[in-house]
Amino acid sequence: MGIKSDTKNQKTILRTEGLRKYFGEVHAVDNLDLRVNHGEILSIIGPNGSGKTTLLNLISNMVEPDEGKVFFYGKDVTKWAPSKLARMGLVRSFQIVNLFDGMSVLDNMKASVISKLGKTNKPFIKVDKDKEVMERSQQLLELFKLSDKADSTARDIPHGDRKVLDVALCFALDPKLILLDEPTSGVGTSEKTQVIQRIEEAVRKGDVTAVIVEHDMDVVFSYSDKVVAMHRGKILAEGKPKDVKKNEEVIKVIMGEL
Amino acid sequence: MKPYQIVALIGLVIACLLPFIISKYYTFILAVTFCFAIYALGYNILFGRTGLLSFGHALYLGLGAYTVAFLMRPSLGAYRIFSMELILLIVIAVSLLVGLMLGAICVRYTRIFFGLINLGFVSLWYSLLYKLRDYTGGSDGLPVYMPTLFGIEFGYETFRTFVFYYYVLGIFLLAAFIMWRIYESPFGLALKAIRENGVRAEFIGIPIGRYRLAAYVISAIYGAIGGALWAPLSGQVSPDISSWLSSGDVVFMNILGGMHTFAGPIVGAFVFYNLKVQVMHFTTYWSIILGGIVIFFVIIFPGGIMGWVSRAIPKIRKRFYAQKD
Repeated sequence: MGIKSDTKNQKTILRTEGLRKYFGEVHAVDNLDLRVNHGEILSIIGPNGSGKTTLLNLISNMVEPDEGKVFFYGKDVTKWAPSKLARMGLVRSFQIVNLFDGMSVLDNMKASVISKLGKTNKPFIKVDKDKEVMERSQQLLELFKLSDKADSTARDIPHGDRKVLDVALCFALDPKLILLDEPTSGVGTSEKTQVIQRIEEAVRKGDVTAVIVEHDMDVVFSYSDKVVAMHRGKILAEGKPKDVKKNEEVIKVIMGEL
Repeated sequence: MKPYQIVALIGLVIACLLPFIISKYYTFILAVTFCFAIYALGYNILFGRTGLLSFGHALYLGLGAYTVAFLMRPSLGAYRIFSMELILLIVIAVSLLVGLMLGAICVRYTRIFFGLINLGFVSLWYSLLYKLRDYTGGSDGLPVYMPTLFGIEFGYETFRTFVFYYYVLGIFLLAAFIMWRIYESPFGLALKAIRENGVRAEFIGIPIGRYRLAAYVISAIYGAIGGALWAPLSGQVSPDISSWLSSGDVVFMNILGGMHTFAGPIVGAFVFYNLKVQVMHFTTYWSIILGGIVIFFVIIFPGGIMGWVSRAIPKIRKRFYAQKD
């Protein structure tokens, strides 16, 4: 990416500045400054209602902030349409699985791939005859171990796989930054590790930075490079997983609840 | 050859031979049917493919028909246009413009709001056709003269019951082929993704507003072409072609034929229009009987006729119909 290797991990790719969103009396996100550095897996933890999902919604412009700005690679992207952000390399997955339910798993993947390749505006090429699209889609299904379900309708596959497919749609876009909203919610304990491992594998393989909102502390502390603890819309603590784990306030507010 | 190609080829051969077998009257009816098939096919990219239900698409059917009448009206003197090819080009340009303008407003809304705002536009357009008598002839409408086809002038009867049938068939084939390619294309897949989940489509980088608009404009152009081809067959255009009832017909055609299949709208147009003609032969209360038949069909075949066929014949389904959805 043209960055010297020694400074690689220091490069900030996403920055929020005084981000604020109130829902009536609830201070969902309150004057929040967040920095995300290149190549890291950053986990956001916090009790229910601490504003984690709202933060992701603000960054991905699913919700407009009351105040504050979002900078992506130094550009002010606060008002950018989600589709434009996605094409720039900032993508997200959803807490409640958000797929093209009536389409096959492969077609879901193809939809994302054609978007990445800038081919959605081509009305006269055949998508199934396009080598680039088909190969890439197959590769991605393989990477996320969904190949055997390629022809199944997305709504019919097991929940764990739906969750993975949701994440896979993001990776198909070859993102620079990926926001994952509880990628393991609703996934059985036995499948959980598998899901997160598939995600981690993909992150480490690609040159991707990930921000993950997660409830499962085992998952958080074993896979993250950095942890941000949120409480009432503010950052309570941030740092290396082992340091955050020891932070007294974090123990009081977050661990106490779990 | 794939099974669907064989079916399509057989259909084409039959369509080419029919005028020699059936009466002149039915050739005429069939030509009108193909006009509506183009209209229904275009409507489906918006309704079945992109998931936007419009209650006002007869606006474009009327727009095409009235454009033809307008270009031919005697008051234009030396500037009257009779070349059908040139007329069609103008119709495409006009519907493209109108589609872009109205579509830009409509696609800001989805679901019932989209349907209703289109209903609003068609009602407005209908009233204009009625009230702007000096230009539109009011309730009498305007006469449509016979156009020339590739510069050749034909006799009245040959034109309406033979030559123009093949002309319409040719344009129908071209329109269907283009639509088929669109359905198979990445653009078609993007539209389907928007139908299935607009929010997610936006988040994987598809600018859904622009794509909905594109689908709207394509359907507008198809509707206008259908109307433009219908006008010379009818010999007269009146506001009824653009009524909200006429807007409802195309929704019927799509649901009846199967809105989630490629061939559905075509089959729907055939069944609907020909049923209508048949029923009108023996009663003026055709809408009662037709309504009953349509309700019956919808209950028996919830996925439309082609939706039913696609489930009944899984092999064909795989090759032809399901692929289209």
